[in-house]
Amino acid sequence: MADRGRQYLLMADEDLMALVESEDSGAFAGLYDRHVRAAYSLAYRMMGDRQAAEDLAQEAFLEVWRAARSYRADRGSVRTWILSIVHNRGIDQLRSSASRRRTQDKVEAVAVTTQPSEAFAETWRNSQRVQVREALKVLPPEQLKVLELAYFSGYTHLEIAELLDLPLGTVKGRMRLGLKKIRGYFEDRGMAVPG
Amino acid sequence: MSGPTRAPGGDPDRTRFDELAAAYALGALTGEERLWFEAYLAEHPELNAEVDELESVADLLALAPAEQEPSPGLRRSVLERVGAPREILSEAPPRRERREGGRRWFLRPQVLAAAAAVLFAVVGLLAWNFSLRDQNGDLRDEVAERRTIQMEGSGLASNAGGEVLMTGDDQAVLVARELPPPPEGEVYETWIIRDGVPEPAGLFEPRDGDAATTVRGSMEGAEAVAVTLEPEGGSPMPTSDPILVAPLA
Repeated sequence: MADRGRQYLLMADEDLMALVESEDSGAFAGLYDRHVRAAYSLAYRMMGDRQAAEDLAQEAFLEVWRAARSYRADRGSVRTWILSIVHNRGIDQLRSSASRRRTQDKVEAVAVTTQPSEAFAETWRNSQRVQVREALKVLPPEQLKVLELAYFSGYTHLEIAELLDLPLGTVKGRMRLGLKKIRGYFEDRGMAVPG
Repeated sequence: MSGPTRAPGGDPDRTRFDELAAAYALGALTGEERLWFEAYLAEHPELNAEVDELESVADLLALAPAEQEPSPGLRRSVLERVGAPREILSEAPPRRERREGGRRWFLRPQVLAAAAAVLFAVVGLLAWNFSLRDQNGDLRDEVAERRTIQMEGSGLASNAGGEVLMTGDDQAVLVARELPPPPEGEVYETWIIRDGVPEPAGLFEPRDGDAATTVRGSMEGAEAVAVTLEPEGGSPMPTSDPILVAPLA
C-alpha cells in the first residue's frame, strides 16, 4: 500500500482522475490531498464559517468521486474543475434565503473575531496565488466589489444593482470591465490566464 | 471579450447576449436569463469561444481567497464516505497542498532536521573554503544568502529558541527548540511578514519540544518570520501575539 501511495504522489492529476473513474480510492485520496486546501479556502470565502465550509468541501469532493467520468481535460485543469464544483454548490446554498441570512450573520461575526492581534495591526493579505491577487489589484474597487458579490456571495446582477443602488446597466458594465481588466493583466505581461 | 456595442447589425438579441455574457460567466444571471442565454448560445456556437474565455477569467476568482487549513477530520470523513481502506485513512496528509508529487517525505520533521543540519555543514564548509580561496564572487554571494537568523521566544515559549535558515533561493527552513506542547485545540502557525503584513506560512507541531519545518512561501522582501499559537486548523490571520520572531531585514 505504501508503494502504491508513492505512485499516486507521482501521477498527474489527469491520470489520477482516470483511476478515480474506476473507483480507486487511493487515487481519490491523492487528489484530495493536493486540492483540498484550495477547495476549502474557496468554500470558507463563500460560506464565512468553518463548519459550513467543511460541509461544502466534503460535498464537492464526494461529487468529484461520483462524477469523475464527467471531467473533460479539454475543458480545463482538474483543479479548475474541482473548484467549479465547490463554487456551483456554494452558490446553490447561498441562494436559499435562509442560508443567505445565516451567512451574512456569520460573515459579520467573522469580521469581528478575526481581527489581527495588536502585533499584526496591518490588513491581512495572503501571498499565495500571487498572480491572481496582483491581477485583482488592478481593478477599481467598484468593479472588484461587483465581481466579489457575484462570485463569492452568489448575488445575481439584479440583486447587486438593488444592493448597491446602481442602475443594472452599470452593474453589467462593471462586471464586463472587471473581467476584461483581469484578462488584460495577464495579456499585458505575455502570460496565459492560469487554468 | 466584447462589449455590448459590438452587436452586429443592431441585432437586439446579440446586444442582449453581449450584455449578459460577463454576468453569465460569473454565475450572476437569474434563472430565466440563464435559460435564454444558453438557448442563444446553442443557436450560435461560434460564440462559445468568447464565453469560454470569459468563464476562464471568472474561474480565476476561485484562487483569490486567503488560504485556509481544513481540519484533519475532514480528510477522514471524506475518504470514509468513499469506502477508502484503513491504510489510506491512516495516511498522514501533507501539511500543505502540493501540486508536484513525490516530495511528501520532505515534510517529515526528522528529514527537515537532518536537512537543516546538512545545510549548516554545507554553509560552514563553503565559508571555510571561500576564506581560503577568495576567487569566486558568485559563490561568495551564494554563501552570503544562506544565512541563519536567530529566533528568541516569548510568552508561553519564553524558554524556546531557534533559527531561520535562509537557503538562498527565497526559501527558508525554521528550526525551533524547547517549544512547549501547544494547548489543547491549538497549533503553531508560521508567518512571513512582508510590508508589515503577515502571510500564512504553514502549521507545525513540535516533537519532544523540537520542530523543523519549511517556511511556506517566498522569502523575497520578507521582513521577519514569526510563529504564533492559533486554533486547530490554523488561522487566516494571526489571532495572538508572536512567540518566536526572526527579524530578517
